[in-house]
Amino acid sequence: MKKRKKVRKLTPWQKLVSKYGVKGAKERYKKIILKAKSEPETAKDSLQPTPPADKEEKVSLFIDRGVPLKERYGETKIALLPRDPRWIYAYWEIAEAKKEEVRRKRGEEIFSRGSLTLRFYDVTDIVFNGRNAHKQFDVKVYSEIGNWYFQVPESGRTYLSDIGLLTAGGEFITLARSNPVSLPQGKISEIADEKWMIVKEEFEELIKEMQLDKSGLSTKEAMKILSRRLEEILPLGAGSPIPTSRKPK
Amino acid sequence: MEKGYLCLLLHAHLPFVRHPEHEDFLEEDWLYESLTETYIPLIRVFDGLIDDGVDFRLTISISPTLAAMFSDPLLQSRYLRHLSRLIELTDKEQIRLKKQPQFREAAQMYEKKLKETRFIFQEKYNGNILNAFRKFQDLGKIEVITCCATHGFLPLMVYRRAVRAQVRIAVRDYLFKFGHRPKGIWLSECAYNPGDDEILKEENLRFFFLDTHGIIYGTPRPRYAVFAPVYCPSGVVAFGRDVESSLQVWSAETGYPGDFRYREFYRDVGYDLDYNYIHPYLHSDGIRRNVGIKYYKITGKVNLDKKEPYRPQEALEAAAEHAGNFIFNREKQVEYLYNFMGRKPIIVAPYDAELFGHWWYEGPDFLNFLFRKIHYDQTTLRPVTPSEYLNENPKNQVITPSMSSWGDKGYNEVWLNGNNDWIYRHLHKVTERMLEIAEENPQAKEVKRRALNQAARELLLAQASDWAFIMTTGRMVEYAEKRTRNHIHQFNRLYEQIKNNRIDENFLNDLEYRDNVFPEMDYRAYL
Repeated sequence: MKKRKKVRKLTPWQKLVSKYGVKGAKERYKKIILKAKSEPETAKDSLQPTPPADKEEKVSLFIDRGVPLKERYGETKIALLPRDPRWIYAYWEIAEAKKEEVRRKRGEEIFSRGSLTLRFYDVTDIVFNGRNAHKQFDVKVYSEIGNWYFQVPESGRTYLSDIGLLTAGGEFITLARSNPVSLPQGKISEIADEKWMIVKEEFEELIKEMQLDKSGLSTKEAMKILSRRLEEILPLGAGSPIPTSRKPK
Repeated sequence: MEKGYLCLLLHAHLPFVRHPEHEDFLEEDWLYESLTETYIPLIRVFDGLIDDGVDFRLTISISPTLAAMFSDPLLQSRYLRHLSRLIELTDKEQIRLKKQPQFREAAQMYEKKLKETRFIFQEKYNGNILNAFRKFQDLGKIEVITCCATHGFLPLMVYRRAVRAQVRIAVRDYLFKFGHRPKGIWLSECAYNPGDDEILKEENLRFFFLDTHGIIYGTPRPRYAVFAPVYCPSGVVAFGRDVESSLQVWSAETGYPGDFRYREFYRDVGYDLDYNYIHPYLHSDGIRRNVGIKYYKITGKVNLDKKEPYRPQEALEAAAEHAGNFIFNREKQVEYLYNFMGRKPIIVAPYDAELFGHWWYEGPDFLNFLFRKIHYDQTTLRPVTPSEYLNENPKNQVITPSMSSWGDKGYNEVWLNGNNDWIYRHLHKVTERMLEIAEENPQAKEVKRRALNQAARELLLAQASDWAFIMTTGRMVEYAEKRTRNHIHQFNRLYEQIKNNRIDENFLNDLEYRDNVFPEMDYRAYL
């Protein structure tokens, strides 16, 4: 494990909750307490975590998960977040007012005749005008408010997405456009041009210079030697499965 | 003359956990444990090195939320109360263990160490251990850098001004606490998105750190891999983590902390001892938990009930051996790289500070032996701070690093998966609203200004990467959910009040009293 933090031992109560859920845990807990009352603790160094026997009235069974939040904000929006070189997370919401507006323009039936679709565009290094994407692909979704993970065809590219209605005739009616996200390459760059620089403290001076490769080894070979263990150590994310069992709604 | 540099960095962070509304609060233990087991033992080591004339260099990133807790009078007095109780327990333990000589050495160690801890905390540094780090920095031994204001995870923020506020508020906070601006920053979770360096430059930060692949997968590819830092196009420097030295210390299987002679973390008197005896040292809910006194060593791959007694002297010997081994490996690595590169390599080895002491009990002793051996026994390696290194080596390659983090799988998945992805819809909404009310009130005065400042605090506290992390690991999840929801809810109430020009002062007073992080807050960081 690369990161060890706050992975603390579960308390007996937390163990019960993780195993039986809050309701089941309460029942179990009562049983344990009753048992503990009938069998007073024996060995001084006993290892088994024991619930508080004579102080059980103080144990709080209330779990505070905070104030419930709104599920909808009443807006028409789609946002993208980068997960790793090949996966994007998106969440979206279509407001009732927006649907009303589209119905007025395109007829009452438009939402039942078209299908709600996310259209992803590859907009790497371009100013996107809605028609000049390098590539695009569509994914149907089934809910006006939702979220999901999407695998993209290529790492190291910049994507954005429109959420809209795809009509039977193949027309795409855009409802909202997302922010762009740039995904990492997830591999060693093919570009070897070297540029070197000197920056003095407080950024007072920037001196840039180009430098030719003077060493016998090419940088690619050098990199391979220097980072030979990297690939073993870092199980990098490309092509990893969706981490959740949830399905798009 | 040395052949290479060693840049050791400890990342010191905890989320802001402070509950004046409760007399006794479980999660505040995170701070108390880290003080007793990590920060005060480290201070003891550094003071010892200075007293003995051992020259050393270390970099420490202290997150603004941890710095806020270190300097908070309420938490300071609560820590002292906590520590005094623990000392009372160790006093009792001397009597209980009179007839159990196998535990006596450890029991005496705790008594001595904890009393010394109280002296260092209370007498030597006046209850605020930032005084110690300021002193070490002034002596030129330690470089203290900052971290994002509340440890927000930058690549998932979307709004550039939200990223900038995390950085700007951190820099300003450091200025108030240390009297000058920080030169560098540790990005929360080592998480970077290309372009974040532009924001660091705006705040006059000279350098930051990346995980190995953040550099290796940069464009164009870096000539010296992670063994020399690189300039981002903005002119800000990125140092890359060395894999080998990290692994030797981090790895659960092959790393030093797994040595059988070291102290076993999971065998604690909070679970082991007679309930009525230990009860006064548990929380008021009476549930058995770790209290921090542990008498067993790792022993081997055996069940907890088969562990053998911990022998402090034997564990110290292990720490000394491991320090020697670490240096030996770094010398070999540096010699090889020096010949290969034709310039002095830098080995950057960052760790979570709490690894030293809290998880690996003998970690501070390891660092003690490490710096002493480096000072007296060899000439190949030279410990260095990032600023010193850059002053001596200003010429470096320019690359655009790759998006990366030091979390599992190397990118953002630990903070973005089915357990925690629901938070981003709300966090982004709150961010939009913060930008909106800041723009509408660029010159707010009095109560409105206070409300805007508090709204900014609530947003920042909700953004702490710790909550998403805890939701992923599955432990203490309720608390992480509660904190996320409550800060968002409190923000939204303030937002409505600011929008309607009807600020409820009682509500505001209460929030200011509870969530009192960043006393110098200026909401215009969001403009």
